[in-house]
Amino acid sequence: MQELEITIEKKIQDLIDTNKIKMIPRSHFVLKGMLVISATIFAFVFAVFIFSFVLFRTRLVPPHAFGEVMFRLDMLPLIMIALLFFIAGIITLISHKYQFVYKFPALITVIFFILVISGVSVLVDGMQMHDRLRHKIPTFYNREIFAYPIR
Amino acid sequence: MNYMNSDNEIIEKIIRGEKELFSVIVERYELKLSRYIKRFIWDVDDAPDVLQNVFTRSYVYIKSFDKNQSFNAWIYRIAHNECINFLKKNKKFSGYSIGDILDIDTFIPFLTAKEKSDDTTNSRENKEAVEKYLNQIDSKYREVLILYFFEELSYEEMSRILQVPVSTVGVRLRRAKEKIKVLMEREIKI
Repeated sequence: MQELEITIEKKIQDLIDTNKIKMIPRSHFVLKGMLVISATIFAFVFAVFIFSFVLFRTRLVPPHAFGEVMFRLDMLPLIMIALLFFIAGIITLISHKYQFVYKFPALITVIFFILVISGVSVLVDGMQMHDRLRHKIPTFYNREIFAYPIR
Repeated sequence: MNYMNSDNEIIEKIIRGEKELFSVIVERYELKLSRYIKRFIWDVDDAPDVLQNVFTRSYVYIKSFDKNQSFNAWIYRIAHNECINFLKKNKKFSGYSIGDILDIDTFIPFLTAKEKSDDTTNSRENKEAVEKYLNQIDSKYREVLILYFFEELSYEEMSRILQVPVSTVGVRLRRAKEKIKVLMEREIKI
């Protein structure tokens, strides 16, 4: 055992002395951390955008629009909710190595993110962000894919 | 002189350029880690290579260490990852999926398992019995047994090493003890 210990200690020191192993600079880890934070923020903003968009569409579609487009209108929120779960899962996965995330069971973290995203989306819808955006980018809001184009 | 310094003080000096001090870290941790690795991968021949990888990786990633955290947990986390990589490479891995997150014990909330005084596998004096059956247990249960019985770490430290909630550590430990108990009873019957 003693022989093994000495060998490993010497081997490691040799690798360091001959520069065969080098410390990765701190900037690398800072950049990596920033990337994780950016990805998390992007996923969060994207989730808030689509969820508030569903709220906006549901609020704006008049009763006479239901009919042939009903199926698509019914499907849209379901797809969006599935997407919401997916994004919350992605955020949990991205940030899982941080203690404030992994100290809770993943299910709790996913539910927490869904609640935060939903809450912020309700606020965003209340501030009528999509009502304003619809005049600025009408091509997006009038697409047929959204079942009932708003004019 | 450096033996009196804490791990975190030595790490700071290494980062500032006193690279030769890394040998103090190697000296402090090689026995502990060697013991942990041997029990975890259950392969005495390959353990020195895994151990060397742990120290090499620790040196390369040393600037990512947060000095407000425990260095002990940090280096054990590296050892944990190296052992998992070794087991996966040799197809001996039986355990969890994507970064541990989709494992049922990690995903669903559990109450922290309470220790029972009448549990025969509870006491740390039962190390020998646990060691006897270690290789017959899945790696995810084997690891908590090693960390608890042989490395004598707290639930909190184990949680930091495994990056799972404290409640998950409790659940895994309870299940691991139950498995040991079943193996012991089976042998008594035979």
